[in-house]
Amino acid sequence: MAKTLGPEPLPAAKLSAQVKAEDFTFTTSAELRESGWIGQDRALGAIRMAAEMRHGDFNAFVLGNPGSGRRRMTRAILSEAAMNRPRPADWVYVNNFGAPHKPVAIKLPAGMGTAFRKAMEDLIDELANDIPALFDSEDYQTRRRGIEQSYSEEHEAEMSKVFEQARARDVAILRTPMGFTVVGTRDGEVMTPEKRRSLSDDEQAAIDAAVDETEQELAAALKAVPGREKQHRREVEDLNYAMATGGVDVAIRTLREAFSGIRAVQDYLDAVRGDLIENAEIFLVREDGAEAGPFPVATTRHYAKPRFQRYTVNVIVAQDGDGATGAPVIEEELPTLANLIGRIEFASEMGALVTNFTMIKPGALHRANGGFLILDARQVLSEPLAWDALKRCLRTREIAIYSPAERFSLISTVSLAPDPVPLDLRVIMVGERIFYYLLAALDPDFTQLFKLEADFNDHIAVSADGPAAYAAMIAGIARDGGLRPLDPPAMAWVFHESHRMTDDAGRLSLGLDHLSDLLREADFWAGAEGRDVIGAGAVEKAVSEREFRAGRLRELGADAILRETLMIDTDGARVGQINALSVLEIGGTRFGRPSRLTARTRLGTGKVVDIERETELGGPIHSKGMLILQGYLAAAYATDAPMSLWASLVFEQSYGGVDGDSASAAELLALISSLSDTPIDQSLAITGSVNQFGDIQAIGGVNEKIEGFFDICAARGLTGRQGVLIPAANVKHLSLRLRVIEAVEAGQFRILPMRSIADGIEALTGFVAGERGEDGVYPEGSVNRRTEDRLRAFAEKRKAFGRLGKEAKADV
Amino acid sequence: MSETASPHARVILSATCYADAEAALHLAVLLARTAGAGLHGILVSDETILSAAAHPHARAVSFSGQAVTQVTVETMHAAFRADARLFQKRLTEAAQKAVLETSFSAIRGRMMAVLARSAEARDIIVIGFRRSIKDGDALVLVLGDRDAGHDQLAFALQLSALTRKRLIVFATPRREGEVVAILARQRGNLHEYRPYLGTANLLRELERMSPAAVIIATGQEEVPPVGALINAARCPVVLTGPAADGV
Repeated sequence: MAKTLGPEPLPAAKLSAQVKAEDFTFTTSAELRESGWIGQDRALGAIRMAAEMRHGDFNAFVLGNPGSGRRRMTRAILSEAAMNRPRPADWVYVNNFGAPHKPVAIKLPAGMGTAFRKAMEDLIDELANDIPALFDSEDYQTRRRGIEQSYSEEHEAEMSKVFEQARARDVAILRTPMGFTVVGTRDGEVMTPEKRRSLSDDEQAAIDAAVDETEQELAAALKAVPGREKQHRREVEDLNYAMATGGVDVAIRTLREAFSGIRAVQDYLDAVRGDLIENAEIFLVREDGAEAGPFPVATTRHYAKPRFQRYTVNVIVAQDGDGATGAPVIEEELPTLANLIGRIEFASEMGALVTNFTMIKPGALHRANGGFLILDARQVLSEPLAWDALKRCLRTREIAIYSPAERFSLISTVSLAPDPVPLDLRVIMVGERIFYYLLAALDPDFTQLFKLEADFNDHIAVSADGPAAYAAMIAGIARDGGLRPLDPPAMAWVFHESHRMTDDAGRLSLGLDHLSDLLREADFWAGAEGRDVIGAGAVEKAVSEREFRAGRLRELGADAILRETLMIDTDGARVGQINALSVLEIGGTRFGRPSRLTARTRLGTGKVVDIERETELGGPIHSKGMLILQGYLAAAYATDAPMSLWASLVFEQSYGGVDGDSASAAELLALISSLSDTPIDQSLAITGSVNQFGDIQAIGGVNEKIEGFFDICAARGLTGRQGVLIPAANVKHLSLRLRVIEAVEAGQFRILPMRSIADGIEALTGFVAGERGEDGVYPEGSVNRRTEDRLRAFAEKRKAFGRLGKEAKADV
Repeated sequence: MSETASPHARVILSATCYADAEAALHLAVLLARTAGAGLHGILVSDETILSAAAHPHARAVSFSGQAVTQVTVETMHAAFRADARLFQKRLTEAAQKAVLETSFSAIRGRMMAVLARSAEARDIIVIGFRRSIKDGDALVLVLGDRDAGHDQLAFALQLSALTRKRLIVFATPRREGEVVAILARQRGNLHEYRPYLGTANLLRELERMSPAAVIIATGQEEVPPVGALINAARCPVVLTGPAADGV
């Protein structure tokens, strides 16, 4: 191996963000006052606009990752805005006496819904006591008796007359199974045919005439009964109506006065009055035995009895009583269709489903009307018909309750068509970005109804608000969570972890849930150590314990390498073999792992075989990387000769899928090593993608990749030569664990930033890569020269084979 | 009044047609339950009616006032049989519902003669009658000169409460004070005293009234002729105490 060439190793200071305890001037974070939400001006501005704007359709969609605090911030802004809004109206459903299947919705001033219900209950209770008393009164009984007597006396007088005249005419009226039989008598006995024959013709004629006359009078008296009964009924009804009217008018007067300014209530009370008078008899039903209950009648809740249900007031929306202010902020965690728009319930009666206006139940839209409704986009979209119903309500600006079963004709029963309730609210949907983009692309209504997008940042640039504001935010999380305050070293640790979460030394994470989890775990360990303050040790312990808990798979992988089941060299050199690095993300954990990548080359027709792709284990991005490196090879070497190469590339001992192009630089270097027959230093690993010009491009997961190789090297013993080649563009993303930084500081490990493939060649082979001179050729002895010579040699051989073939054909 | 201690053996509901029996069935059941007595039904195939049916110049009118033709002895016999079956059926159903012992007989003869043969001491006799108008105004108790403190008045008051009818009590002026005192103690005080001034006066009074039922609880000597009583009152008549014994 020649002298060390290639890029200079990075100093330890470049391996992570430089946040130190000395940067913080507080003793504990308890001294820091919360500086509000930082880094979310764009999203919060959109939510505030949605909260304060009065125009319709300016509903908002809050985009952001779970754990970003989007819901908490949304709730806080809306709650603040709601306090400045007027309390919305109460809504009740009442019976429509003319068309019971179309219940009437009545709007009432805030807080009066319940009062109206109570007033109606009191009215029914009052009438339940007053009306029976009215009908039991001496006045009513006397008037009723007068009607009864006049009716019966009239009839009885007529019947008496018929019977009296019959007796006077010697005619008997007998009651038989077939009605009345009218027959002549003699000496008080029914006249037999024999007796009749003994009479003279005149006498017989006189008896027959008397019988006929009596029959006609009796028939007339009996026929008059139905008409007389009808008249009697009418008189009784008129009397009842007059009595009920008096009672109802007195009882309802107070209610009318209490709700005098509300036209809809007055109209309803008119209908109630008419119905109460028409149906006053329902107040006269007596209850015997157990049904009467153990309480005196005066304390019985009459309004709860089924026969008075039609006068119930079904309060759909009731604002709190006096003293409460502001509009509602409702969060519906289970936004099913019914939970959004309300539902009509049914009861089973004798095997049939029945319903009425008291079975109308409100939905979240009713409760949030006049204020704000927060919904989870995923939940709304996954509930059948919920999204459709929400859009319809927002578009029509009214809440119409309907049943999905009825809509799809799944049930056939009598249902209701309640008055729709006018809708005026702001809906805030919270969801991941993918839902917003899909809805915007696929649902034309979406952008019309949700005109505002509140896009939450996942991170904040360090320079934007400075460490003080971020530290104050961390202090706030600890305070809100009831945790111990942090000392400055602990704060520096948290900053370090925050950088690590973003994979960027220039950015801090706004993943509040993750940060909160870290603080709570640190608080736990601080408590376990009996400390009043969270120190750096507690944060470090929290991090290491978390890694340990999630480390089983990582340890299994490392163990397989250390026991040489998986073959990874960390020293020596070999042609066509290189240590590539990959990242595995399983569940909530991510870790890096080295993989052996090998390349073999020979004379061919310009084909590079990607074994991963051939076996369908390589993904599309990996294939793209392969084609790019072929492009580099074709343009960088022996451009005046046909590409006469056959090469194969493979990740050794890899049996799962491979994707991404972060190994394309490693693949290209393995090929160059094989072509140039130059061994690669196995104490180094490499990650980075390459473009067609040989520039090295940034990749993801750089920290985990470095640590994955470092841990293997450390387990085998650090030599000082070992290290990792990374794209120079990834240096700003470095946020390495302390163990790596300490090894670098001690000169036991190296991190080498590459800008081009030449950097990689020199660092890995120890030979100069070589640049074309003015004569167009690479310098003698350089890796590029060797590579090009090899390719030219392949081309010459191929050409020679071509000639031999033609000659052979000619000889034939 | 418990069944074992009951002073009444049976309540006999008798009628010459189902319509009359059915009109008094509810009253008879109430009487039987109140008195703790059994219920016996008698449909009397009245010979007078059969004789009238045989008369070629007799006329028939239905209960609703329509003329009925083709009334013969045979059709009347058939009508009696049909009414007897219906009467028995309804009587049994009503008795079962009220958990009463029951029996039934269909007898040919004259009403009062049949009752005289069938009734025993301590029986209560109810003679059915279908009123032309549906509901009567009040229950009428004819006490005559009997002691107002006697069980009959209490019994009638019980019936009055069960049927939710006011009670009009005919008693001799001699008994007025005690009757009025008892009636005044009743809830609502809707009941009424009227003087009993002999049978002729009673019949005249009843002709002008429209009672739901008349209970005759006089001594035997004060009982008016039952036929005349029914013609005057045109409602079910109950004979109890000495009045029933004198049938």
